[in-house]
Amino acid sequence: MRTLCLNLQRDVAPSVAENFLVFSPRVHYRAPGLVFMDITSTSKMFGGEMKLLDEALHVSREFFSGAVGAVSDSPWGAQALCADKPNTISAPTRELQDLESAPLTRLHQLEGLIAWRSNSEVEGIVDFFHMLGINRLGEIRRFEVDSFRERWKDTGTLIWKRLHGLDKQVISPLLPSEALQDYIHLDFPVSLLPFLLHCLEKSLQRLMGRLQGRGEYAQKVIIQLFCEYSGKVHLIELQPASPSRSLELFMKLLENKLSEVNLDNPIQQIEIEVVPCPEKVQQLSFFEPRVSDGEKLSQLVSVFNQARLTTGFLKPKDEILPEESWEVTPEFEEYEPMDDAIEVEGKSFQIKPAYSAALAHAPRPSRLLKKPRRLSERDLDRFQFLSHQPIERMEDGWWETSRGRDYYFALSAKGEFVWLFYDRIEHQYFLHGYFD
Amino acid sequence: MKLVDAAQVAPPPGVPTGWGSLDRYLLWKGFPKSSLSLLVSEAGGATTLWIQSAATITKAGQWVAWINQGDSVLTPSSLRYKGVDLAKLLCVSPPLDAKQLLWAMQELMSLCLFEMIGCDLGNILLREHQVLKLKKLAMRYQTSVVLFTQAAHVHKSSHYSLIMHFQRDHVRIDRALHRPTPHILERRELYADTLPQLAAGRRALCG
Repeated sequence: MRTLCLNLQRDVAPSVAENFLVFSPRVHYRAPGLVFMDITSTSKMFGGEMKLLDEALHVSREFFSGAVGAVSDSPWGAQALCADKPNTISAPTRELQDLESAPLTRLHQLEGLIAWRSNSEVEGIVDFFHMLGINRLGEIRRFEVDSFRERWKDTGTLIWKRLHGLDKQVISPLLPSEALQDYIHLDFPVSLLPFLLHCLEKSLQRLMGRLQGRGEYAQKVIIQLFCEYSGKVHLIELQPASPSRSLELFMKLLENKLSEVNLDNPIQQIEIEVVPCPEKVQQLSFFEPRVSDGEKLSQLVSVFNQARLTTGFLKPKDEILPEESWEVTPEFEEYEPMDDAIEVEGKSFQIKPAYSAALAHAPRPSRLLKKPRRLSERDLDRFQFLSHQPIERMEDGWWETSRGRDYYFALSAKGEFVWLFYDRIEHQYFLHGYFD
Repeated sequence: MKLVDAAQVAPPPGVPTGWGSLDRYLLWKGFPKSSLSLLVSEAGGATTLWIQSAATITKAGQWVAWINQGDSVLTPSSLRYKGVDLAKLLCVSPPLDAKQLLWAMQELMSLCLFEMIGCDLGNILLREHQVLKLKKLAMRYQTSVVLFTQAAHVHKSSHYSLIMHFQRDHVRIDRALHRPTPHILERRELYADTLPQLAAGRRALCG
């Protein structure tokens, strides 16, 4: 089994292992700060063990700058190599030879997935061999297993087995079960926006890293800011237009939200929770840029929606009344105008007219009023009608709004080319749009 | 005599408006790119011009954005009729105030996605330094920004590269780079394709 061991050089929460699920489903975290991955079957996907090691170190160093790693045949071998020759790879079956010249103190790191029961016991073994003038790991391999067992019992046997490559450790698949939450306590409460953003960025970055490993997106991010005085809590919810795990997007949304929050009462504690949703699996084209126009727009729509600006694409609808014949959708939806349908039954047929096809060629103003504007007699006198006969007649279902409209073209006193209608039910003229 | 490279004397890029006589007159052959245009639509016609230009851009697979103002919206069927690809047109609802409008414009431009952004100013009056800021953004992100207003007496800042005034009978070009101004164009040419629609509508109804 080829094993990659990462030493993050810091004791962290076990959930950090989720960040590395992108490299292998078999990941194990052991305190203090050791991550083991079975990369036997996944290294090829990354272009070899060296490239995988580089990638894994890159991910680790985003959060832990001093992280080191090594690849070897077993978890304990990789851990010892990680300490002895950081960022190296031991070729398959060469593990024991590579560790031969390591100092005897490396026995402390020869533990793998399970830590030694007692460090002092291993320390005693190291001291004993030092007294005999033995200083290298390779030199104690010539002793028999019975010698080790008699003197140091189970620990002795285990060391002998590991030095002869006879101990097996298996890394089980990691099933992420920990909640996507983070907590920050600030020793010095913060009331400046840039400092607060800085504190939150690291935390969000960790959570987004976990989401990436889990193959999930954030549907919503809920942030609670606990103030220093009066037990006040600010609740901030970030919800992009479509699920995302872009740190940049969430930081932008957060910055916009926080700019509205009064920070006079300093923030002392922060709780962050991510509501995840599964990642949509999609086949990406090799020739398309990874950040597509769609993603850029999705981010923009999220930012604008948060600022209460409705943003999206115009979608025509099959409605008769012009003010109801469109809507704004956050994602573009294809629209095909319906055509007349002809139903034939035996020797008879029935035509079911559809308006949308005909409407595609009907004259419509470039600007439509969301709500038709009622015109008084005086207003009407200012318009010069371009025809006595209506240009278009519309009849909606009498059982709904009971509208009968006659549309006309007219010119206003200023020379505006307008679209207005006479409501045959209300006997009233309305202005409905401009050919601007 | 030293000859100059052809690339050095090429006119600055523009977005065609589809109005032949206007495009021929302007140095950019349309709305200037990386710059600001102001359309004073006193008698209407400015939106039609912008839509025609948007149709040219979207047909080429590029994006345009429109920021609404007031209680009117762009009509999807009119846009489709003029040939605008609705999949490439992003619409933004009216901003609350000038501050939000400028922020929205900045966000749109900084996305480096939109070739042209149309923005109806409505009642918002931009100050000189705000126009300058927009111009700098347009230059930086190489976007053609077209602003609309109905206020006839708006301050016509020198930061606008193109200023057009849509009046009752004609369109007056008040400012255009390297062109003699004011220049007058017939406004009715703009509605050349609307009038046949009117006639067809009448025929359909009255026979």
